[in-house]
Amino acid sequence: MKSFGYLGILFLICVLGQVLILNQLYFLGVGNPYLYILFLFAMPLTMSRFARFTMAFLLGFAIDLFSGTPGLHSFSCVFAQFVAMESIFLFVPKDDKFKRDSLPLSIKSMGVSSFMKLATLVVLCHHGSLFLLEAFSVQHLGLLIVRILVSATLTLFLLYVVEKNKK
Amino acid sequence: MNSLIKFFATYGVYFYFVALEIFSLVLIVNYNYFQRSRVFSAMNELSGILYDLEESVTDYFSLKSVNEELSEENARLRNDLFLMQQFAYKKAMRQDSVVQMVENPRLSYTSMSAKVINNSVHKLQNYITINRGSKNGICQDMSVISSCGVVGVVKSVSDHFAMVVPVLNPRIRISCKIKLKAKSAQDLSVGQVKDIGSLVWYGGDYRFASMEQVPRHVEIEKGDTVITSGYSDYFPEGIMVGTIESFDKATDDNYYDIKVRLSVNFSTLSYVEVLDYKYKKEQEELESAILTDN
Repeated sequence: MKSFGYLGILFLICVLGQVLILNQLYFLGVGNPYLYILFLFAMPLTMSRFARFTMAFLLGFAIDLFSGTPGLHSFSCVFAQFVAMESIFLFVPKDDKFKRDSLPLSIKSMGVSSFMKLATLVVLCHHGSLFLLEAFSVQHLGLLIVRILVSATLTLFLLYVVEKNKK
Repeated sequence: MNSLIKFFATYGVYFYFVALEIFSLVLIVNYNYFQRSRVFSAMNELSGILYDLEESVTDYFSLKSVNEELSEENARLRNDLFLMQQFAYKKAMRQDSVVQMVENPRLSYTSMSAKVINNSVHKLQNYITINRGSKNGICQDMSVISSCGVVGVVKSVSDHFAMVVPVLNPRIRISCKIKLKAKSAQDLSVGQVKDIGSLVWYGGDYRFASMEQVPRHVEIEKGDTVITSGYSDYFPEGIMVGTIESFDKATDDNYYDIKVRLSVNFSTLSYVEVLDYKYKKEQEELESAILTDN
C-alpha cells in the first residue's frame, strides 16, 4: 500500500516536472505533453472517490497557478478522473489477479494492453477538453484535432516509458 | 428519507464532480481574458437574437399607435406645407408686383387626420365612414385625401363620424388636369399642364376610373400623371389622382376616353386627412349669387 507521503511527493514531482520542463517543450509547435496526469493513475482505488476528485482538482489547479490559466487544467483533470473512474471496469481483465481494492492503476496491476487502452481514453478526454477550452471555439477544428492527437501521442509515449520503468 | 440518504451516498460523488467542473468553468470564464471575452460576446449575440425576436413579436402590438402618430404627423406636415407654400407665394408677389396680396386664398387649407372605420369598394355607390365628426370640426363638402392621393368629399356629418363620398362613387366628379412631363427643371417649376378634364367612376374595378372631357387634339401618353386642377372648390391644386393606364379616341366623339389608374388603393385605405378650405364659404356665396342671377 502506497503511503500518503509517497503520493505527496509524486504530486510535487508531477507539478514541478510539468511546469518547469514539459511546459517548455513544444513538439513541432503544435504538441505539448501533459504527463502530470499520471498522478491520476497513481492514486490507489482504496481512496474515496471524493478524495480522488479533490486531489484531481488540486493537481489541475496547481498546474493552472503556474501556467496562468485558472480553471483550465482543473476542469480537464477532474473530467479525466471521472472518465478513469467510470471506465476502469471496461478495461479490467475478467479472470483475474487484479485486486481493485488495493492497487493503483498501472501496467503492473492491469497489464500493458488494458492499461494503455484505459490511458488512451483518459488522455484523449483530458487533452480534448483542455484544448477545446483553451481555444474556446471550433473555428479552427482541424488544427485543434491535430494538436489534441499530437499531444496525446506524446503524453501516452511518456506515460508508457515512465510506467514501464517504475519499480 | 432513507432512500434519499442512500441516493446521496451513491450519487453524491457525481454531484461533487459536477460542482468541481462548474467551479473550474467559473474560474476559466472569470480569470482568463480570452475565454471571458468569447463568453461575453457569445452572450451578447444571444441576447441580441432574443431581443430581436421579442421586438419582432411586440412590434405588432404598437402598430396601431405608430400608425396614429404617423397620420397625425402627416396632417401636421401637410399644414406646414400649405403654410410654406403660402409664404413662398407672398414672397414672390412682393418682389414682382406693386399689388400687396395678403395671401393666396387657394392655398388656405388646414389638415386633420382621421381613421377609416367603414369602407366599401365593390358596390356601385361606395361610401367611407371616418371617425371624426362635427365635434372635431368636420363640415360638409370638405375634401378628403390620403398620403397617396385624392380620396373623396365629406357628404354628411354627425357628432363623431362623417360619411365620405369617395372617388369610387358616380355621385362626384373631380376636376383634374394631366401634367405635362417635365423635360427641364423650368417645366417642373412652372408645372405646365396638357389639359383639364373631369374624373368620374362608373362602377366596376375599384383600381380604375375614367377621365372625361379631354379634347382630341391634346397629345397624351400612357403613364401621364393626373392631378387635381384646383378649379373645384373641394381640392387644392396638385394633389395626386393617378396615372393614365390607357386611352381611346372614338371616331364619333370630340373627346378622349381615358382610363386612369388611381393612386390610392381604396381597398386597404385606413388613414386619411380631411382638408378644410378657409375661404370655401366666400367662394360658394359669390359663385351661387352669379348663378342665381342668371
